[in-house]
Order: sequence, then C-alpha cells, then structure tokens
Amino acid sequence: MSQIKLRGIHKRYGDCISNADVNLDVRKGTIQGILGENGAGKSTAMKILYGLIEPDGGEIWIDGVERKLKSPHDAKALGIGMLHQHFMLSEAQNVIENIVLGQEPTHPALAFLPLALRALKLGDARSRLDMLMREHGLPVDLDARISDLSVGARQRVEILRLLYIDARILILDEPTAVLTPQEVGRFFIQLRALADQGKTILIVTHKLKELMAITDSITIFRAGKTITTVDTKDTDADQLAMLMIGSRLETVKNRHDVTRSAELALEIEELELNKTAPRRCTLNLRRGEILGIAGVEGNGQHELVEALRHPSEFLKHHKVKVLKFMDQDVRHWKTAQMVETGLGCIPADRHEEGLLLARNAVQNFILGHQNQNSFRAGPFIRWSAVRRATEEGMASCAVVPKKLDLELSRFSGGNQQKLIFAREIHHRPKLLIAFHPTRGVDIGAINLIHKKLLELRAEGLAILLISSELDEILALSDRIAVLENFAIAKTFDGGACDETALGLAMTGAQEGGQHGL
Amino acid sequence: MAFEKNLRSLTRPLSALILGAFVSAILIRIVGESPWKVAEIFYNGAMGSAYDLGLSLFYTVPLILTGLAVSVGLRARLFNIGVEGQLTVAALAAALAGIWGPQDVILNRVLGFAAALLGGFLWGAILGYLKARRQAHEVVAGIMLNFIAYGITSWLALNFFKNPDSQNPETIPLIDAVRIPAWSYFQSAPIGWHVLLAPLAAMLLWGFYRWTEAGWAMEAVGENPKAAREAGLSIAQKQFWALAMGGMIAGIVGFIEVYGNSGKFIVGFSPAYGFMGIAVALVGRLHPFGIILSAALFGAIHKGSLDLDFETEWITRDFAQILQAVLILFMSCATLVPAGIQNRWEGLKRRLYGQRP
Repeated sequence: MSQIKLRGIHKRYGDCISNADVNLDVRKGTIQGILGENGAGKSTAMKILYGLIEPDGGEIWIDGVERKLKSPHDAKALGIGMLHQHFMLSEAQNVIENIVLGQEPTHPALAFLPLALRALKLGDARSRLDMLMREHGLPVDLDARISDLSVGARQRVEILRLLYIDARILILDEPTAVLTPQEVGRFFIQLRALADQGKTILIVTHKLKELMAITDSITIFRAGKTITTVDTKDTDADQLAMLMIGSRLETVKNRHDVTRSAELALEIEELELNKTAPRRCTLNLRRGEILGIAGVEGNGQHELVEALRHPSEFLKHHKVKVLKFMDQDVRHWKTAQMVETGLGCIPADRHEEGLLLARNAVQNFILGHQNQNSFRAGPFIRWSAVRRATEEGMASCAVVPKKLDLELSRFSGGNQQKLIFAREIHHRPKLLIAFHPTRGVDIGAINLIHKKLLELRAEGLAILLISSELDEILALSDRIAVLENFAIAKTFDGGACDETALGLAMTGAQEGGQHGL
Repeated sequence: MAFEKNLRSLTRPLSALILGAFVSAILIRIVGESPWKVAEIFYNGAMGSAYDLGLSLFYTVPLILTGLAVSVGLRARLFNIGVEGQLTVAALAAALAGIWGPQDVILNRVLGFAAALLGGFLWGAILGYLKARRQAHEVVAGIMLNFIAYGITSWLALNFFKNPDSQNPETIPLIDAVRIPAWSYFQSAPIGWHVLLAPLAAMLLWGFYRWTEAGWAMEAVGENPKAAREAGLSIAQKQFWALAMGGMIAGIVGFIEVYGNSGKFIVGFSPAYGFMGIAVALVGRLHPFGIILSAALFGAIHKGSLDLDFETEWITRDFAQILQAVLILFMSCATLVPAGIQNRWEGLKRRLYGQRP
C-alpha cells in the first residue's frame, strides 16, 4: 500500500496553471525521485504535500486516510517534513538551539511562566539527538555555531531537525545543489540508511545522474502533470531526459577544432585571493578560448570573480603583480570601466547578484549596461532602444514567455538565467565570466547556454567558466585549471583529462604538479 | 489595463477610510456626540467653503512635498526621517535670504527659493554623507539631525534675527512686496501660485524615475543593492543622493512657508509635516501622483479635525487628534482583510464566476 497518494491535484495562479493533474504514489521506506524541468510543477506539488500551498482540488491520502493539509503544521503532525533548497537555519545560534527551535524543551518546574521566560532544558534533547545521530550516521557537533559549519554539515543539521520532530516522510528540494561531489556521495549513503530504517524520502531534482544513483523509482513531471513513474533499475539517464523534456536531447561538446588566437584577453600574475593562503593565483586566458576553473567551492572562486569584476575595490586589500585585461593594466579600474571595455559576467547567484526580481525584463536588460552609448541620451535612458535590445536578446536565447513587461520573478529559473546570459553577451564582450552558468537550470536551458558558449568562443570570445559541475567543465573547456586553496594547483588540456584526474587535483591529492599556467 | 490597475490601487485606501470612519464613529458615540453631526462638521471644515478648502490645500501642499521627499529615500530603501529637520533649516535659509537679499521682487524670490533648496539639500547631504560614507544608521542620524536643526535654527532666529516688535519666537519679516500674494478665490487662505510648486515637483520626480539613468539607478540600488553593485553602480553615491535630493524637495516647504504664508521664520512652524510625510508616502505607495492624492486626504483630515475642537462640546483638540490617528492607522495597513477570509472570498468568487480561461 502506498504511504503517500496524491490524486488529481491541481492548482492555478491567475492565468498560470502550476499543477494540472498530479498523481503520485510513494511506498513506505523507499526513495522516490521527482524529476522535471523548472516550471514543470514539481515544487508546487511538494509544497502542497507539505501544506504550504492549498490545492484548488484533488485528494491527498496519507497512510490510507484522506487528509486536508492547511498548513505545514498539519503536515508536521502527520510526520511530513521538508528540507528546503535554501537552508532555514539561524546562523548565530548553535546546532542544538536550531534543532529544538519551535519545540523548545523547558524545565517542568517553570511551566507556569510564559514560554519566552523559561530556561531551556537541553539535556533530554541532547541525549535524544546523540541517539539519532548514531542511529542514522549523521555526525554533527551539537555545540558548534551554524556559521562555522560547512554546507554539508548544515544539511545534516536540517535533516536531524526533521528526524527530531519524528518526520516519517522527508521531502528534499534540490538537496545537492549546494554540496561538493564528495559531500553528495556521503549524503546519499545517509539517505539510503534512512530509507532502510523505514523513512520515506521524496527527492526533487533535475540532476539525472543523482536520481539514477539514489532512487528506487522516479516520477516525471511535465507541464504541470505527472507523466509516468518508472523503476530506477529499469531506466537510464537518456530515457529520463526524453521523458522529462519530451524529445531526445543531443549533448553539446567542445570538439577542440577551433584554433585559439594568440591574443591574451586576460593576464593574471600572482594574484592574492586570500591573505592566509600560501600561494597566489596565476593564470591567463586567450581570446577564443574557454578556460574551465574546477575546484571545490570555497577555494577562491568567489574571490577570483570579485577581483576581475571590481579590481580597484578588491586590490585595496589584496596584492597582485600583474592584472591585465585586453592588454591594459586594470588594477585601478572600477566595475563600470571593466564592463565598458568588454567584461560580461553571469553571476553565481542570479537572484542576489544578477536581477531585479520585481522589475520587468526590459528594466533587467539594462542592468550593468546602463552606460552603453546605444542605451543613453545624456542623462536619459533610451527605453525604446533598451526594449528593442531586450526583444532581440530574448529571441536569440529563446527566453519564454517572450513578454517584455513581465515581472522577472514570474519567469522560471532557466529563463531568468537565459535572460542574464542574453544580456551579458548582447554588447559583444571580449571576456565572459560564466560563474555556475547552469546552476539550478533545466536541461533545455543548459543545452542552449552550452551551445551559445561554444559559438561565441568560435567568434573570438574568451570565456572563464567556473563551475562545480565537472561534466560541464569537461564538455566545454579548451583548458582546465584546478583552483585549490586559492591558487591554481594544476592545469589540464581540455581533451586530455577525465573526472577522476580532476577530482584528485581538486582535493589536493596530487601535489607537485605544475603550478600556474 | 493600466488605468484599471490604478483604479484598483485606490480601493484599498478608500475602504480603509471607510473602516476608519466606522471606528471613529464608535469612539465619537462613546464621548457622547453624534457621529453624523461630527461628519458634517468634518466635511464642512475640510471643504465647506472656499476658505476651508483653501486651508485644506494649505496643509496638503507641504505634505505632498514631504511625502515626495520621504519617497525618494524609500525608493532607495532608506528611511529618511530627517525631513522635518531639512525643511526647518530650509525655512530659515529662505527667510535669511529674503531679509538680506536684494529687495527687487523677482531676484529676492529667486534667491529665497535657491536658499531653501540649498538649505534642505545641505541638511539632507549631511545625513547622506553620514549614511553613505560613515555607515551611520539613517534613522538614528536623521532623528539627531532633526534635534540639531531645531536647536540651531531656534538659536539663530531668536538670538540674531529676532523680531523686536513681536512677542512670538520669530524672525524679522520680509518686506510685503516679495511675499507671494494669495488668490482671492480662497478668500484669506494663503494660497497663491506657490502651491503649484508641489505638483510640479511631483511631475519632475515622476519623469526623473521614468526617464533618467540616475532615477533608475537609485531605485535599482534600493531594490537589490548586491545586483546594483555588480552592475557597477555605486551604492554609497546613490544613497547619498537619495537623501540629499529628499532634503532638497523638503526644502521647498521652507520656501512656501516663508514666502507664501508667514513672511518670516517662526520657530516650530511645522506641525510635524516631515513625520506625516512618511505616512503620506507610504499610503501613496511611493508614486508621485499617489502621494498627491494621499497628501490631499491627509490635508483634508487634518483641517477637518481642527474644526471639531471649536464646533463640538465634547470633542477636544486631543480627541480630534485621536480620530485623525485612527484614520491614518487604518490607511497605513497593507492588508485590511485577514488572509484566511480573503482566501475564502477568492474561492467563493471562483465558484461564482467559474474558472477564467
């Protein structure tokens, strides 16, 4: 019998249908994948199951009883817990305080006081958590501050919190988006152990490889409907991709058939990315070349982009020997100058750094390019020109819906990313920083962005591709540099390198390779 | 479409007004007056005659300007609570320019206007500098600057420029010729061409945000500072200008007060225009034209409640202030209907009208 059963769930927002007909069966003690492109309705369906959204119609059955879930509170009472894509932890508090938040255990003698005045009694919680940690293999230092924990450890805290409130059904929304490859492997072992102990796990993602590795069965969402559910052992990634987007997908690959120019777009010598790091970063990038930067998150990627994007600000506190962009010394340059000289950038976090979510596509298309001559007439913005450019950009990168006046938050993540991409290449930059260019983006958009990157490189664009997806780096790069501990640990030729070699270099296992480029 | 949307955004403040009036009616009953009679006095007080209308307008105009000043800050996500100080400094500046300046009518007015803008700008710029370059919190700094502005202007006005012929805390008056004559339509209410400065400022501001890069950038900084920084905009610079520009707009209030109303700087002339500007800006949803409407409402309410004191037995000045506050409270609520009821209402509508295609 299914522990979770959804029948004919539908939900619409105004004119936008988010869930048309969602049917789902999940057996107890299994891991079920929820697969679909952005905007296919999988998040909405999960939020309905967690009580965050009330459906317009349809039935929800939990353990054979039909239920109405009006709030997460109802869901929790039924043992449903959700792990959100973005952590919901209070940074300044320690692990145990975060876990008991919401059901703080207090001393019984103080029960007459209002809750806020009672002293916490964490002893019982601590022993219970110790037990849970041992039982499920989820080690965390209960007294550590959240702000001191790694991303992987934070995720374990979130899971412990779910276990602490006796969740039997765990909904995980893109749980691996923020993890390093090593952490993903460890995380999956923990998930399997949880399932073996009878927990039911729903994992929402669009990473096919991960689904193949961890799930028992996979339900595919397309256009707000559940298309089918397949057993993982009977399927493969190709078939899943086909089910998900409804057609076969050709993967984009760098054939290494374009001759790079000798002209340097970027020259960095001995750039200090971190004051305490023993070594400095040296690299260069030619026009018409894609340089992939591989590395575990936190090894200097952000600092490198910061240095290129805001040289004058960054170099106030960091040293460098040479920093040249298009043969010009840019050590004292400001962001606007860099952009005008031809630096495009796809930021790592599109919501935080790349978009004005409450504005329309046109208003976003000018962001960062407000000083372009074609967009300006003295102090005024030529909105008609910006509109035309936006229209062109949206067409060239297949941004849908093609509504110029739609608020950016109403576009799906993939289309937001495509719009940023269109914006950054519209003014024919000389160097493009692509920082996690396909993070949290659906397959269709990934393909388009990859294809465009290769096209632009053939036209002479220099591309600095920084990504945590090794597949992406391997498929696109002409050269690959591994960033480890704020310096380039090793470089490879794009054609002559595989995931294992990269992985070893990333974790610093192979010392003594050639440093710098 | 756009028109319908604009019309819809009016329903909220209007229904708030009705709800507020209802609660006020209960309060009025409790003190033993007839709500109908009070409503009538209120209406007559606000717009019963050309003179009353003129006085409502008299309160509206500064509120438009302070509302605009606050909105410039809020659009850059800055809470400009220093507007009161800015308009005070500006008024003294205008008065001093008027007293010292050439006594030629046009030159004198131009100089007075420029001095008011400069005074407001200066006081806003200090706040902007403290916020943008010294990382002071703009609310704390704004409040302190209000105190300082009040103290300094009083000291200057009373120690150096005091009118020896008057018992009141005020400066020497300007010559009558430079004061802006009132229109006869509003009888003796001090309404002349200077009131047009407020809608003019609103219009300019509207165009500023709509068409200029600087306006667009100020809003971008307010909406997403990180993205703005990535886009190469200087956050500090935009913050400085948002506060300084707000000060300049507030400065016009000083000019209007000195040249259009009293003809001198009176200590404490502002009945908290600067603070009411915050509510005006929020109710007007930071839109220049919305602010004109909300300022008109606030102005009328202010004038209407003033008359209650004289015309009724039990409604005192303090109680009139309570009524005024109740109305403003209701209008400043973002949602009037609890979410649960609203959901049910939406569901009912869907069932009644069917699903829209």
